[in-house]
Amino acid sequence: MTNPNQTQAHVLPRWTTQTLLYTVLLIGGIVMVIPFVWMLATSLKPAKEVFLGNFFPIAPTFANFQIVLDKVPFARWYLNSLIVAVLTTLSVAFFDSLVGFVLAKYEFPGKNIIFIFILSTLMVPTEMLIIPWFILSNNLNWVDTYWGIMFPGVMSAFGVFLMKQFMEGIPSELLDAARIDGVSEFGLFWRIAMPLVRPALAALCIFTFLGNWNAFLWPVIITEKMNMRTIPVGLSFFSGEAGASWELIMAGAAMATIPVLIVFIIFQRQIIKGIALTGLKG
Amino acid sequence: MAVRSRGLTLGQRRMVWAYIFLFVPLVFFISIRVAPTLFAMSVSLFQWDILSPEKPWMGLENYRNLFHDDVFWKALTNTLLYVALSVPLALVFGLSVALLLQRAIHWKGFFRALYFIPFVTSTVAISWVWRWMYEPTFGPLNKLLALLGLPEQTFLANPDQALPSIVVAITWQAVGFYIIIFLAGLEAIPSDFYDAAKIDGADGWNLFRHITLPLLNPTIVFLTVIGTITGIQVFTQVLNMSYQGMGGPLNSTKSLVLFIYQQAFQSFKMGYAAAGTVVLFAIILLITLIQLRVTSRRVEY
Amino acid sequence: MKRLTLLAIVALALVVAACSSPTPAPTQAPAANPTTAPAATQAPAANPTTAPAATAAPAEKVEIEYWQYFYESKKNLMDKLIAEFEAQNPNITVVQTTFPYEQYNDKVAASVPAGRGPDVINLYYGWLPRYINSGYLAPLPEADFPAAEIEKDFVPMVQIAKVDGKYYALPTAVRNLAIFYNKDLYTAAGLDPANPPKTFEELAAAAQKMTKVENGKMTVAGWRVDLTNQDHNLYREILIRAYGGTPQSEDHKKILWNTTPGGYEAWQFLVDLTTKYKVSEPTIGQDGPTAWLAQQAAMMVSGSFYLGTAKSKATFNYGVFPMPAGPKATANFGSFWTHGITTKAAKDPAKLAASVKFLKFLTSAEVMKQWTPAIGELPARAEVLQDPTFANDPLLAPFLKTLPVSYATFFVDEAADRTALVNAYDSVILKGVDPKQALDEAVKIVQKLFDDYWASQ
Repeated sequence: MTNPNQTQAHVLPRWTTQTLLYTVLLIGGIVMVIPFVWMLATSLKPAKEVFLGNFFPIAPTFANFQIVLDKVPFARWYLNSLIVAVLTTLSVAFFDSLVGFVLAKYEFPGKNIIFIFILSTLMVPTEMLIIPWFILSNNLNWVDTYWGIMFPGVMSAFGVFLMKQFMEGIPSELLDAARIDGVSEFGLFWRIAMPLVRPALAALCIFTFLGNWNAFLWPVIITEKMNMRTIPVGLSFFSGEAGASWELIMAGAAMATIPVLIVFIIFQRQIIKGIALTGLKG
Repeated sequence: MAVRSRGLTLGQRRMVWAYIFLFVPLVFFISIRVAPTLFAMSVSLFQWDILSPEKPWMGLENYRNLFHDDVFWKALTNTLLYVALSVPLALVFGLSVALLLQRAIHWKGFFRALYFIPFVTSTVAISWVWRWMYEPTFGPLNKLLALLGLPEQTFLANPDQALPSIVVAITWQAVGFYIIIFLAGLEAIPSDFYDAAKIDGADGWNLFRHITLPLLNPTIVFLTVIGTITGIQVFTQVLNMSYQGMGGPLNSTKSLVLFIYQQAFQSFKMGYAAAGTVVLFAIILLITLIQLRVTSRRVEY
Repeated sequence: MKRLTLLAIVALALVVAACSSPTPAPTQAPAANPTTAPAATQAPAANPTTAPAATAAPAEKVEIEYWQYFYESKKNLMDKLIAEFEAQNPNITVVQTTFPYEQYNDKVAASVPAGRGPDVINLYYGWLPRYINSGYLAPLPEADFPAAEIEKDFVPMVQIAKVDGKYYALPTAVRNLAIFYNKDLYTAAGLDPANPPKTFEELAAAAQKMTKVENGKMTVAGWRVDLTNQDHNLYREILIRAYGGTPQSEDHKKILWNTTPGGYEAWQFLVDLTTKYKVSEPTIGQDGPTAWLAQQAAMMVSGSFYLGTAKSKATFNYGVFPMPAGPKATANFGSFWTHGITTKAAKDPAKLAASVKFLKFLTSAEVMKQWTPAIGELPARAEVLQDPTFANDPLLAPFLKTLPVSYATFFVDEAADRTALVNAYDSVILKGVDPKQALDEAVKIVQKLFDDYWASQ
C-alpha cells in the first residue's frame, strides 16, 4: 500500500480524514446512484403507477420482467448482444494494443501521420457512415449477420489512442534488455508490454464492451430478422407511436445492466491485482 | 530470421516489424472508416438526396447554404458550449473522486462500482430518469430547491437552462469513465516518486502539484482529447432529453450531430448533412491538433 | 495471462474467419436466389401474353416480405391475418418484419440507396411523395385497383396517395383526432362530463374551469397545448378550417396559413390558450400525453390509436368527445399508414401477383372489421364505417362523427413542417415574439421546403 495521503497524518488524525473522505464519497455515491435506483423502482411499478410521480412503487411487482420475457425473444437478444460485445472487445483489445505499442515504441517514417490518420476516424459521426456501411453490407450479404453488426467496431481509434498513451509509459530500456535476451518483436509486445499495461487494457475492455453492449443506431439498420436484434434495439420496441412503456423499458434496461455491473465488479478486482503485479514499480 | 539475413540494420528491422504489425489495422481503418468517410464527404458536393435517384452536382452550394443557415450556427455554438462546459467539469470531478478513492482504505471497490453505475446504464433509460429529475411540477430537483427556499426552475422547458441541464446529465454519466481512467493513471505512478518526495518533506498539496499532476499529464491529455471528440459529437442525450426530442426548446439544445442526423434522416438531405459533417470534422481536427501540441509541450517542460 | 492469450487467439481466429470466409453468404444465398431464378424461368412464359401471374401463381411457391413498424397490437393482428391469408393462398408465404417505430423511417430510407427492401411495405402517408418520387414504390396495377373504384369505396382522404392519376398505396385503416378528457377533473370542476364542449370557445371556457394554480404555479392544465404531438395538426387542418380558411393551395404548392381567411385568428386562438385563457403551460408534464396520464392536464388532443394506451395506463375515469366546431366550420385532421408495393417486387411477376393478392386482402372489408376493434383505427372503406358496432361504441363514435370532414395534410417533410410550427409557438410563449410575426416566419420556412420540393420535380 502506497498511499500519497499518508503525509496528511501530520496535519490531521487519520480517522478524521478518513471519516471526512467517506462522508464525501458517500454523498457523491448517493447522487450517482439515485437515478439507477429510480430505474429499478420504475421496473417494479405496475403500468398505471408510472406517471404518478412517486419514487418507490406502491404495489411493487415483478410482472414487467415477465412481460418483457414473454413478449419478445429477450434471451436471444441477450445472447446476440453478448456475442457481439465479447468478440468486438477481444478484437479491439488485441489490435488496438498492438497499434498503440507500435506507435509508442517504434520509430519509422509516417508514424505521426498514421497516428493522426487513425485518430481522425474518430472525428466523423457514425451517423454519416451508416449509408455507405449499409450499401457495403448489402452487397456483401452481411445484413442479419453477427459480423455485419460488429464490423464497424472491431478496431477503434479510441483504443489505439488510449493504449498508445499507456504504452509510452513503458521504459524503452526494458524492451532493449528483452531484445538482448532474444525476445522476438511480437514477444516484446505480447510478453513484455501487454502485462505492463493491464490496467489500461482492462479499462479499454470495459469501455469497448459497454460501447458495443449499448450500440443502437447501426444494429437497428443492419438487422432485419427479429432473432438477430441486440438488446438496445429490442428495448426500443417498447417505445412506440402512443408513447413509451417505461416500466417495460426500465425492466429490460435493468436486466441488461445488472449482469454487466456484476461483471465489472468482478473485473475491477482483477485490475487491482494486475496493478500489483505490474513491473512499473521497478 | 529471413529478415535478419538480408542484412538490414537494427533500426530498419524494427521499422519493418512496425509496418508488419500495422498492416491489418491499417487495411481495416482504410476500408471501413476512411473510405466511407471520404465517400460521405464527397457527397457534400452533390444534391445527394437519399431517396432521389438523381444526385446533381452542387459544387460548394451546400456549404454556402450552411453558412446562411441560422439553425446550423445555433447548433455549432451549442456544440462548443457542450464541450466547454462538460469536459472541464468531468475532469475536475473525475480527478477529485479518483484521488479520494485512491486514499480510501476500505470499500474501495464498492465506491468505484457506485460511481461507475451510471456509465454502465443505458443512455436512453438514464435520459428519461433525468427528464423526471428536472420535471418542473413534481420533479425532485424542484422539490429540493423549494426545501432550500430557492426559486423553482423550469430546466429543460427553458431555452436558457436546457443546455446546462443536459450538460449536468452528460457529465454525471461520463464521470465514471473519467474516474476509471484517472485511477489507472494514478496507479501507474511509481510509488518511489512519492517515497522520495516524502523523504524531502513534501506535503500533500505539493505532492499533488509536483508529482501527481505532471505524471498524470498523459492521462489528462488523453481525457481532454477524447472528451472533446466525444463531446463535440453529443447526440443521444440531446435526442432523448431535449424537451421536444429534437433539440428544443427553440433549438437551444440542438447539437451539430443532431442537426446532421435530422438533415440526413428526416429530410434525407445527405449532401447537406455531409457538408455539416465536413465542417464538424475540420473543427474537431483543428481542436485536437492544438490540444495535442499544447499538452505535449507541457510534457517536455 | 495464458487464458487471455487463448481468448485473444480464439477471437482473432473468429474475426479472421468472419472476415475471409463467406460464412454469411450461404445462408443468404438461397434467399436471394428465388428472386432471380423464377424471373428467368418465367421470362418465356411472360412473352406471349401479359397474364403470367395468373398461370404462374398456382404452379410454384412464392415468398413475399412485408415491413411495418412495431406496434404490438398491429404486429399480432398481422400475424393472425397472414395466417388467414396463407390458408386461402397455400402457394404464398408472407414474412412479416417489424422495426422500432422511431427508427422506421431511417431504416426504410437507408434501404433505398442499397436497393434493399420488402415487397409490400407500410408507410406513413405523409412520406409518400418522397418515396414515390424516388421510384421506391410501384403504382398499384389499375386492373386490380381501379382508381374510380377506390374513390367510390374509400374515405376521401386516401386520395392524397394519388400522384399523376395513379394510386401508389392503399390503407386498411385511417385515423383522426378527438379530445381526450379526464372525467374526474371535469366533475371536480363542477362541469357535466356527459355534456362536453361543442365549440372551441366552450372548450377554452371548460379548460379555464379545470386549470389549477397553486402559489402562482400551474399544477393542472385545463388543456395541455403540445404542438410536438398533435397540436400542429390541430392548427393546420382543424383550426384554420374551423376559422374559415384552407391551409394549402389546391395544387399543394403554396402554404396559406398567414394569407387564408382566419389563418391568423386560428393561430391567435392557439396562442391565447397559453397567454390569455392561461389553460396551458409548456412546463406542465413533459408532453401532452404524459401530462394527461399524470392528471396534470384535464384534456388533450389525440387520435384513436391512443385508446389502447389510455386503457392500460389511465388511473382515472376518462372519455373522448368529438372535435369541436369553430366559428365557421367543423374540421378534423385525418392521417393513415398505408400499404404500397415496391418496385423491387413489381419487377418479378410472381411476386407482384402475390403482393397484389396480399394488398387486396389487407384492404378488404373483412380485414377492416377485424382491424378496428383490435387496433382502434377507423376502417378505410366507407361501407364498413356504417357498421353499427363501431358507430355505437362510445369511444369510437366521437372519431367517426367528424370523419367525413377529416383532411390529410400534404407533407413534403413532415418533421421540418412540424418543427417550424413548434418553434413559432415556442418563440411566442417563451420569447414574447409577436404571434403574427412568428407565424410568418414559420410560413417562410415551410414554403421554402415546398418550393425546393416542387423545383426538384
